[in-house]
Amino acid sequence: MSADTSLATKIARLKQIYIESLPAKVKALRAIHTQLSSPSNITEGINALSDLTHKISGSAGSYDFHQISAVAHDLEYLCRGLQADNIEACSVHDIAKLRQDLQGLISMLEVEID
Amino acid sequence: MSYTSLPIFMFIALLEDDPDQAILVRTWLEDSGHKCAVFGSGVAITRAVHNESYDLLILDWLVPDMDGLEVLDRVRATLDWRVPVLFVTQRDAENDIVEALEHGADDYMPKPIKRAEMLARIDAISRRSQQAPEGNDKRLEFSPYTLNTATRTIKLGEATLELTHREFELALFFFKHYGRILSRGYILEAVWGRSAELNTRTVDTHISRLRRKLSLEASNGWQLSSIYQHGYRLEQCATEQLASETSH
Repeated sequence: MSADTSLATKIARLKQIYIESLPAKVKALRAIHTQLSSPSNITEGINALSDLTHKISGSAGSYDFHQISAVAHDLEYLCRGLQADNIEACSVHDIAKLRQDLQGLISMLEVEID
Repeated sequence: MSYTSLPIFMFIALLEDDPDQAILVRTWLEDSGHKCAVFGSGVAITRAVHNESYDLLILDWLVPDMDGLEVLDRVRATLDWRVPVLFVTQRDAENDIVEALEHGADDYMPKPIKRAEMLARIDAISRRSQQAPEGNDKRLEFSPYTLNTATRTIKLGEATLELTHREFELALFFFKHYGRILSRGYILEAVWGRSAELNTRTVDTHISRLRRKLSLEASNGWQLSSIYQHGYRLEQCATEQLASETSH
């Protein structure tokens, strides 16, 4: 087995583990999606989404899920923008957009799980 | 292991709180011959850099408890040598890049991390951070010592010292990293090889012999000091110390 093949095998195994971890990520994203529907949980939801999309954006891209990485990246920036502007003051429209994009990310992850 | 064929493997500390990302990067690094220790928090890595001898820090910007920039500031403020730092983060805005570099990062790479790019950047950092420039000249001057990597000999003034192959490697390793605290484990891996089935007492024995054979003492301008609970450091003696030693 050549060194490259060996690395390829290791990466393939890690990628499989990553795919197997996606249902847990979807579950966490769904919980945030629900949080964002309740005005009292908006701040907590945006902070959690910012952290989780930061991780998904980085790892998904490195595991060659480039589209998922890009969508997570956009969501992270949306969250950071709202955090910088004062989350308490964000509009209903902002939250609706966030939830819509989040649903898009969840759907993309579900495709990979299937 | 020969230090004439640099770059050699590096012992890399990776600050990354996402286990998915961390295991992938560690696999890439280890497959390329590097050794990698992963830390999930800023506090953990700032503590570790004082107890181990890392050749490079790879820092994620956003981690729990302390961000990568703060880690960098603390490392630069407290570590007695300038360990190379590569920043890896989603933050690819120009201002953030400038901020990281101004705080003392050596290079910057946005996520998602690409394997080939990361390894190329690490190689470049490794080349830049080599302390003793060799070029085509195989002689390294650390007055009054001259190390010749072609003949694998060391001269003290005009006298050629009798050293074993391993003692030469050990001396070369210390001179190339002078001023830096090196742990016994790190020395063992770097000089004896990664799979060496030896314990760190081997290092102590060889260092004791090396001190004697090279006469590493203040009168020659160099000291190989034992740093309690950390390892060893080869250091140049201060001019005042040297004058004081020679006048007695």
